[in-house]
Amino acid sequence: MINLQRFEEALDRRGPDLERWPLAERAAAATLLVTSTAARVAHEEAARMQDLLAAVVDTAPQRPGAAERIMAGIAARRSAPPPDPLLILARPQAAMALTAAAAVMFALGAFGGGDLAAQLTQGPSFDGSYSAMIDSDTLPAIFEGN
Amino acid sequence: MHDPAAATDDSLIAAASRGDEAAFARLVQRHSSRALAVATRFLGSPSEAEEVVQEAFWRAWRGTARWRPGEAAFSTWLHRVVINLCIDRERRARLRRFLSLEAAPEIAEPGVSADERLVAVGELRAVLDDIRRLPARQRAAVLLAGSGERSNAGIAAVLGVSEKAVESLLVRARRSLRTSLRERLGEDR
Repeated sequence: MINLQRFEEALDRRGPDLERWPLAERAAAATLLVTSTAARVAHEEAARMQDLLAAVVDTAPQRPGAAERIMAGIAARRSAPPPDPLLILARPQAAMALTAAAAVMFALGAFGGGDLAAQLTQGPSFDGSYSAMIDSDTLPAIFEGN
Repeated sequence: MHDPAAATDDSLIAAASRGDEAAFARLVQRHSSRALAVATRFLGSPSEAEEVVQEAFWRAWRGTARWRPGEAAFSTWLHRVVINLCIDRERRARLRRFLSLEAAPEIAEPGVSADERLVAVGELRAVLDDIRRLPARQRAAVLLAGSGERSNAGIAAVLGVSEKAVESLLVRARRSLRTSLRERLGEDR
């Protein structure tokens, strides 16, 4: 038997589609849904949220011809010479950004803000397994050597 | 390749690794729409999403020769790269804003399509705003769950975390979204 609190936790964990729940939990949930009005309300609320989330993804605006532009972009990048890192650093915006970043990091460090500086450079404070994903260049582990 | 529409992703990648651009274009046609939808909702900008998805496909193109068929779904790999590029982009934008090098962006690009105009009002608009306020990894998990195509194990494969970690992300995200939804419904009454 599952109580209402555990049912609501399971809804948050697994979503409202009971077909995706483990068999034992599914059977207990079905029993609770028959006997508990509050459980039915919780399930309807979860289903409504899932419908909204699906609609959020399904209605994402897409500009026509995206696939063609992606392929054209790949073709352009294949034919482009590799960028010269010295030229990139010589751009005024890059120089300004580097100067500003250095100044801010120096100031944060000087006034005891080392942790904040680390957060700004490392991104969100994800757990270890996820932070390893932050640098996209190290991520595509499915490709050998990538 | 006799029937590109029926070809598996693995066979298309193998063909692309031999220089078959048409095979790679088929992969782009097959997978770009879903990846663009997730990236657009993550970043709030269709044009930025397109840049991210193009970068992901560029990396795929460069890596076709190193693809290990049967080891993982191409869609999983693609979404993994897209999500992480989104997170990278948002992190850099946050740093640039902190350094005052650029103004804060709009939540979403206005008037892109009729669908977007519809989304801009009502409950969906509010949920979109709630999603944009979620921490990045909760946002990624809930958008992948919202598409309904992946189990929690599939989302874990995309995010490169354990299934337990995905459940934890989804619990926190759904609770947060539900709380906001209840507050709005309470205000409407």
